[in-house]
Amino acid sequence: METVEKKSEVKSDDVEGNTESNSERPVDVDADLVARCQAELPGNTAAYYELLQKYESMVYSTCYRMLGDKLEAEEATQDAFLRIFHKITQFEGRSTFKTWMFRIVYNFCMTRRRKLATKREREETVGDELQTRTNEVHREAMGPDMDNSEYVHLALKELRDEDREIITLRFISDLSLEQMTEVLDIKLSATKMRLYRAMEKFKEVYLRHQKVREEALNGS
Amino acid sequence: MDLELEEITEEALKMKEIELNGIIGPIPPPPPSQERIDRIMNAVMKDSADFVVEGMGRGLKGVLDTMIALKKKDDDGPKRSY
Repeated sequence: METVEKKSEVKSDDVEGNTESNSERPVDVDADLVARCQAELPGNTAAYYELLQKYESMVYSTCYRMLGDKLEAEEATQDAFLRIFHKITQFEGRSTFKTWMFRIVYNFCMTRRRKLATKREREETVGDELQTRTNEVHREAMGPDMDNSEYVHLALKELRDEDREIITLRFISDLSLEQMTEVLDIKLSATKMRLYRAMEKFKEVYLRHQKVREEALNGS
Repeated sequence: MDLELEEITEEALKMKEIELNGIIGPIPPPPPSQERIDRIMNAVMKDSADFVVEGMGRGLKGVLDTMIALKKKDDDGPKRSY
């Protein structure tokens, strides 16, 4: 974990995560890069490019786990980084840059997922049939050649949205409890509760998948 | 609200995480994709250029309007502390 962060209060109407708190400021490992962005953008994009290189993979991976689709994840990643480019001058350092950034990423994923859900609802005239087909594809995909992250992805896809989000933020985005609390805009106790429950469910689903994988391996 | 759930401690969470990590092993992030990074940079540069052109299009009147609006905000609102 690369940041040490104290809990600060998050206002629900503060979409960009500039939290109002007079408590101790968090230690932000990205402070220098952010300060350079604020001083140099839009003329000089060198510092922004460094931030992009540092976080692009983690952001993309988070979007991919949350949205379950590579193209959607790419678009959400691009949208989020564009927003960061335009809003970074307004970042006041009341949370770490990483928390602020993931709040933007999370909001973009939520918006995109809602749109996707509406689109799918319209398209799914044969919903059950499609689900059966999806399950078959998953079963076929669970071959011995799949790497661990793909099994994790399959297990995540089976979770409820709420559980998938928090598992992703913890294990893929590598956020601390306090950071997740700010990103999700819920209380710390609720974050703990959700994370604990989600981990239990994830374990159950993952182990079920592992059993299928082992049976497939033994059968081949 | 389930009382039991309010009692989840950070220690219990940590243990659960360790257990889960032991089961699934590390999940390495995908390697950075230069192609994706380039695409984002292109979008950023294009967006930035559009913004500049739009600003230039507004010309002197746009600049004056912005200054007047800022002055009014300063006059109306609380004093800014710098």
